[in-house]
Amino acid sequence: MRIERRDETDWLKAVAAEGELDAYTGPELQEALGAALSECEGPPWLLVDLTDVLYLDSMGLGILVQAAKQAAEGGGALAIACDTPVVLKVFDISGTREMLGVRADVEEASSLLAARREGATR
Amino acid sequence: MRPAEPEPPVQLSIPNDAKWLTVVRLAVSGVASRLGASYEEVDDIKVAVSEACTNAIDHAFPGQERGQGAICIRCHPGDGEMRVEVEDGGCGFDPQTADVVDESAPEKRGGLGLFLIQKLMDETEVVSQPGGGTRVTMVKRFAR
Repeated sequence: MRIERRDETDWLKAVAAEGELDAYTGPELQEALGAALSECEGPPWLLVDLTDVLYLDSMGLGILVQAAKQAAEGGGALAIACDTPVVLKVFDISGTREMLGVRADVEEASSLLAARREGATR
Repeated sequence: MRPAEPEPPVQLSIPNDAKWLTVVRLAVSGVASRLGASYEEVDDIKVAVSEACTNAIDHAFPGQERGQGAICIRCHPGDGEMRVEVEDGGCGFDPQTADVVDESAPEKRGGLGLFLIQKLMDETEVVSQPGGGTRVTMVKRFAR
């Protein structure tokens, strides 16, 4: 699995993953998400780009749910870019698609977070 | 006319180490494709079998080094279906007392894995006893 961290904007951090996310590779993503969340100075706004992730299991899902809870506790949010059917099905079956802010691409996920941030700062 | 003899299973054994999960997924995907499963059915089988193996890796061999236990995956070709058994010779558990599925807490890992298996496959059976290992049997029927 390849993982890249980047700053999307001055308020939005992103973690992009590529490959298969399972019990073997999950800890790598967990570490990257934890690092990105801890780097946020204000409320954490975090985009997770899974458009190149071909597989996600319950371990990976648990890591994403945990990161989303951490972001929410800090007054921010997490959104996920993903359009891979097998991964979307895991979100749907577990009922986590809306809770995790899953959108088809990075642009839509960024827009979702921008709207939530605007709502939070009003 | 005599009924056709069942085809022998395709088997794979892996050490209890998560690094082999990707090999399991490749193998069961190949078998399911060979049996005529659709892309979506192949994905369902792949996720379910991988979850069963992950549960075995995480829970069947407490206190043992990675790679010391073995997990056997048997794919049984059927008439318009595929049956997969994931069996470990690990510690087992008492199904009467185990907290196996909690749909309200998706981050609970073992429980969510079994929940996904049940949703993705047409039949699921878990047989386990303390000290006697665990066998998860899953059946996927092909729509065709």
